[in-house]
Amino acid sequence: MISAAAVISLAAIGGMASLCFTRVFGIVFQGSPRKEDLKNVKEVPFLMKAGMVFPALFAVFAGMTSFLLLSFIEKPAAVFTGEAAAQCFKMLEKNMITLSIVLAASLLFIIIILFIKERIFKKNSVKTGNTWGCGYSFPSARMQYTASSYAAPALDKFSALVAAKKTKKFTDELFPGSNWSFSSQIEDWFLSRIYIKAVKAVDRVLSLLRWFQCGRAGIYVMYAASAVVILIIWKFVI
Amino acid sequence: MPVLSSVKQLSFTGDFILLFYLLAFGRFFLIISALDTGSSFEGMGAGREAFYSALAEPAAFISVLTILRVQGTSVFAEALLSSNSSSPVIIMLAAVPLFIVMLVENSRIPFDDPETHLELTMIHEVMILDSSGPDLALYEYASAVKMWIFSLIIARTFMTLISVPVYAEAAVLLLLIFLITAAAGIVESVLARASLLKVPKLIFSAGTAAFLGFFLSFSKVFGW
Repeated sequence: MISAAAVISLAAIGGMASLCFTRVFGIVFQGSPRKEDLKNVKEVPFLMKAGMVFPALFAVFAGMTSFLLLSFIEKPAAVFTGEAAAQCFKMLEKNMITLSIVLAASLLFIIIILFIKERIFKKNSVKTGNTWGCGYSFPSARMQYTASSYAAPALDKFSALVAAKKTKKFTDELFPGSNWSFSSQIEDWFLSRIYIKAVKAVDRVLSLLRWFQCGRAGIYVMYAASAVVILIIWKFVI
Repeated sequence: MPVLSSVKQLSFTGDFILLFYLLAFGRFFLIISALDTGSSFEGMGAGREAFYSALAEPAAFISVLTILRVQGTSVFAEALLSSNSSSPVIIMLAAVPLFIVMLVENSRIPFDDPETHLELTMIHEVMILDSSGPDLALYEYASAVKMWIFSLIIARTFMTLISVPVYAEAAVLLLLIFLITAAAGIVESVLARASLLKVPKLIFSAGTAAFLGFFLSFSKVFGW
């Protein structure tokens, strides 16, 4: 039952992770520049990108050869679980080799398809322009989907859990004016309602000992000497 | 993917996770390609696709776990290739949510309309609205392959209830796939496209049905 719950959680988390990463990647890297000062941005030199290439390649390598990395965590796991770790890792290693073969074959297939497509359509020219906006004659980059818009279906459905705060400022005009504004913030309720409250409670209790810190070096030396005297009494007398 | 019992295929514990995550991998690139067009319509469709798929995936996983539990194995290929299941009712309760997930993932009515031209109602079609030529052909082919995969899973799920001779397995499988796709067509003809606000509720109902089957697979009260 526990493993089933773990698998179901994995599915839900995977779906939400997909939503999250498509949002981040899509809004940051895809589409047209959303601001005027971003239109003249140029790509950095290759040497500046090279530093990111190696971790990216290692991430792919780690995913493809995960069975090799198992040996690094087998012994630390055996400290806590004993012989059960060795049996579990033996089964995991076999599955991971199969998984790595499938992933490598999939990646190779994708690379071949892309290569074939690139070779066939090498002579075709690529033009960029505004995307057709359902008959609207003057589409602009500001009409692109924003991060709030992209996440809106999910946030609206889970509004009770997410506690999104929307600030709207509209007027009675028919068309959006320069004084219209909209903003949305997601409150990290775990941080604000649980974690910060717990830390503040601990702080209130520990603040009762704040008088220890008086800022005088002589008093601190007296604290250290008192501690040594108490330890001597405890060790040799009591 | 288990197709025929006479054909050896790659299988291992947890292979169904790899299957669904490979499909999710393709969906990821479809979504970011939609966002790359810079159009608000594609962004709208991409957001909906990502959200509805996030809801449908747990329902599919629960159904698959139910099938695995009933068949007494942790390998999806083995579970689907075995026959004479001891719990036909639970298998049926797992197949229905899988059919609903098939409709969601393949953008069929009542979740989406593959023939609509109204951008405000599109989910999948709007993501490929600005594609043409070979790119569009690849997208359409990928959709067809995904439909085949889900139909195959549901057909093999039904085949676990009966014992089919090896020489007739391919014919029975094709017949079942035809019936499943015909059922999808009948559903599309009978029902209208659901309101976008109701689509998450429909997907939750599939998850509830899947969870019911999963719960019953643990219950020995009914002897199913």
